[in-house]
Amino acid sequence: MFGFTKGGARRLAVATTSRTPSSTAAKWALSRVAGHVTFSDKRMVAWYLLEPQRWSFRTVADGEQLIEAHAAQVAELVGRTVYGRITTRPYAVQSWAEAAWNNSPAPTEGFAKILERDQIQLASRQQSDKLVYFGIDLGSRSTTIDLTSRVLPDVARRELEAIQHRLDEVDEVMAGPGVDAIPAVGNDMAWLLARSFALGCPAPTQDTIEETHWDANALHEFSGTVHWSAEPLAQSVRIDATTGERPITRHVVILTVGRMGELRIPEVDEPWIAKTDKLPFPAEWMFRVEVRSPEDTSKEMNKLSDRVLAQREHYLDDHGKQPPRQLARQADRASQVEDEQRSGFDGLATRTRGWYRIAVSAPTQEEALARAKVVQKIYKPAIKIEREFDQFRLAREFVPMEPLANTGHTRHLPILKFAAGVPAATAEVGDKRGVLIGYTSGFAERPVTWDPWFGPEVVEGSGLVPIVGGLGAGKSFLAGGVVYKTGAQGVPWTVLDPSGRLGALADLPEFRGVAAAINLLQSEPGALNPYALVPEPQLAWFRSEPDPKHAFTLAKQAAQSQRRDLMTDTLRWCLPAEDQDNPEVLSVLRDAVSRAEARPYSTAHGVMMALQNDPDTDRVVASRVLRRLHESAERELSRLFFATPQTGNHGEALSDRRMTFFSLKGLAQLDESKPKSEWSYDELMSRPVMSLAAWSALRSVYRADFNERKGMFLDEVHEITAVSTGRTLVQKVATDTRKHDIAALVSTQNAANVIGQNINNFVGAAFVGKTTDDEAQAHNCRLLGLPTGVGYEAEFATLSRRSRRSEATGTPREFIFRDGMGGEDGKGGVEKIRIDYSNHERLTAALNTTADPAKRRALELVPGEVPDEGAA
Amino acid sequence: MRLPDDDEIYDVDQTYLGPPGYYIGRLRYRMIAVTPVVVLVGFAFLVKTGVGFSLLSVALTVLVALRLSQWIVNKTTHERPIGVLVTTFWHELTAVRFPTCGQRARRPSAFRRRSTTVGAEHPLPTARRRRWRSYANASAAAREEA
Repeated sequence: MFGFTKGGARRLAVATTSRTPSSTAAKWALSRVAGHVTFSDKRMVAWYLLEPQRWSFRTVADGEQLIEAHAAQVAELVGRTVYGRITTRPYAVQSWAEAAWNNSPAPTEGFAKILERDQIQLASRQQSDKLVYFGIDLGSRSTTIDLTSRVLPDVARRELEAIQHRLDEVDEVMAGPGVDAIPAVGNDMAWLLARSFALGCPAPTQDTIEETHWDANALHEFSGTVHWSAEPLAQSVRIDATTGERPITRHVVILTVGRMGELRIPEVDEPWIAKTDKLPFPAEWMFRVEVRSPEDTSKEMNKLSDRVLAQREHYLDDHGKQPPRQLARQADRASQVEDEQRSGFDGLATRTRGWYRIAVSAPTQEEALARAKVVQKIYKPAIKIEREFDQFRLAREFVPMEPLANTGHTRHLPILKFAAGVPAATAEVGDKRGVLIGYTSGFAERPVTWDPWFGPEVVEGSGLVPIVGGLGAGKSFLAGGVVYKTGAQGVPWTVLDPSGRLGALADLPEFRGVAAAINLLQSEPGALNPYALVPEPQLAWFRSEPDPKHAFTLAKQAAQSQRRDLMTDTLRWCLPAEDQDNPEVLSVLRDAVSRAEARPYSTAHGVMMALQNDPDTDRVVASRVLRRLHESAERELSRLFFATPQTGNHGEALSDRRMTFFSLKGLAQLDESKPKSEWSYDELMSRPVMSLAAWSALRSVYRADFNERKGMFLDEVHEITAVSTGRTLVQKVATDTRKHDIAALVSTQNAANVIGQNINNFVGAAFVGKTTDDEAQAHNCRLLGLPTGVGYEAEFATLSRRSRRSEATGTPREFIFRDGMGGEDGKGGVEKIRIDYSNHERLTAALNTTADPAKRRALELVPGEVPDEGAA
Repeated sequence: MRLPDDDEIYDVDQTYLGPPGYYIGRLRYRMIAVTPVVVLVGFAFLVKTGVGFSLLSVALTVLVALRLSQWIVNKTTHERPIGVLVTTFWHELTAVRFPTCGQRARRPSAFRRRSTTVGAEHPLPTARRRRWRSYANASAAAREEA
């Protein structure tokens, strides 16, 4: 019996290592590793690493398909034992930070500080990636090979060659759809061994390992640094490890999966194995599943049927008593299973026999037991999780090649129920090179890092990113953080934020000297000259085209007509409401705009000259329009559109800073419920001002180098798309982002503003926040590529929920994030995420728009008066 | 999809009601198997300890054996058969313990065998005693060599 040590050997071990316990006391079954195959004296097991599977926001049909594909693959391993081992690898905080730094065009000192704060936060939250290993039993070794391998060191390699075709067969099955596993070689194998021998101990930092073969001596590297022990009838196993710098002690509690009720996956229940991902602490899994042949199952079912019948007869015939109803049920079910084994060739009726263990660990036994209780609780009431004696041998099962501790709690599961555990399910969203924006908050907590330029640069998708959500969903908060972090990376940003809240970002020390906040309403007359806002194309933009000159000429013509459209639309808004829809007036206006020159330096003055001088037009109408336009040129808001040859904007930049925050503070909010004729002048002007401001933001984006990364954030896009030129703008942004490497974040209250522009195909990543309106929820589904009418709509209303009793200010900002990074359907992962900038105090203070009576102006006026907290 | 499992089929009712036509009560098959073994072990105990077979000793042994068998049967289920209980017991006995030898200065003196008795002769050591200084010198020499 292994593991049993004579006192003398133990004393020797203690004497040699003084207080650090040695593992000479424990003999392990694992004797050798070659490639991805582990050997004991008798058996061989090939190990594979499974591809993570997205689970959140899968449709029922899609989820069932995944389960069936997984089951069908495993069913091909009939007669073999499948070992499963689920462990975690700490999120590579340092390599992420390096990737994020290298991904920055011109990282500033501020960005170094941001990265530092994010790294501290990530490290303190103990984020980890899930690794799922499957080991397939390759059968036992012959005694001859076993003996010769002790003499010839090369035998392991030759043996591997001999069983190559058996291995190839298993490799092929494991690479199939639904499993998508790759052989666990080198680093992956070393990680499996390290995590198994030092079960439950904090993960050591792993160097890149080049060797793929370990013999018994080399394996001592893993087993020699740990000592496992347990007291009689102990509730946990004590593991002392000296893998790191200091000796570590962990108490590990092993739980076994007991009887399970009927589950409904994916409709009602979550994948039962992956459920432990929800825990706030890591839980390791080990399972051993024997895939049984139909003949075996049939035989066993017949035997069980006989027992059931005999027992029934004992009650009825021998004693004339009513037998328990369970017997009838069992007889039915046994014959049903037996029948299933004879029909169907897809392997989905295959049965398994297995043992499933979960390990939780903590520095003290009490803590470990408390964690075990939490595990038992999350599985209640559908699955019973048992904690049994024999903890020492149960824990040893987690090490590859160790034998089964005992046959208690054998689970007889149909292969579909095993596959419905979806061990590889995970919550992965975002890339691994971008900035940290938060954590997933649905299935499991994982960090979400996102690079807005991943779409245009890597996936060759669009850089348009809609941020959708109702009032207070946290759209500006999300975008503000992205602007802050990527801005510090050295990316130029142009932000159009009508309310002016994001202007506070310009005052942050990270952007001192490189950012400017401009209120467009306070600019000089003619600052929003429509002609100047459409950028003149440059030949360099078309170098990749087959005929650059031709494309350049066409683009110039398009820009000219764009300017004319913009001017017509703007001037139309300057007319009284009754004239705005008058075809005669519009025709006169359009003619005048067509005749006037439409270069970036042209002005509305040219149009007015054309109206004045053209003899062919209706003079009465023309002079009426001219009078109205003259009036407008003098009024407070509309004078922004009317540049003259001497004043206003003629195509020059409004700001020479890297970061520009345009605001329209003071602009009236439009009341949609009122008829157009009742709109006040300020309300009437709000839409063209907004639309032109957006164009002006767009122009300032085009100013930068064609190949350089650029960012643009347009807030309240639903106001911009209400006018035709605004819609054109959003379309233009959508089509140009990839070519010009622009990340365009557009925030809106309704996804229809983006989908309605028929640009859904261009959308890459997307964020959807809390939405309560039914119609808007359906649009959200379309935007995220989710099916409508299957219950996802309700999910949008449950985002950012806060407790009624909570007095903490600020709601949790939750979004559903689609990263647009390819994958099965090309739309990338979809996950619920929680935006978290809590570790950047200045940023959160700048973005905090929550009303605070303590900050009211009346208090500021009283010098030295500090608001009394007791009085509040 | 609905996902039942087969565990229920394996948990077949195991009750013995008595020979056909003679109902004697509901006995578990496990109880019938375990009781004779425990009674025999009890008898072996009686023989080994020299208590011998008397009416009292046999009656007490049978009663205790019955109670013990009941306890064993209550502790075992279809999920945890008797074999598992025996294996678990053996594994608990043979699990590796945390090494305590050599970590303490000495065993408790109350259980130590006395090497001397009061009033016996206590001669002074005859060998040349090494003084603390010789230890210090030896370690200093070793350091220098290193």
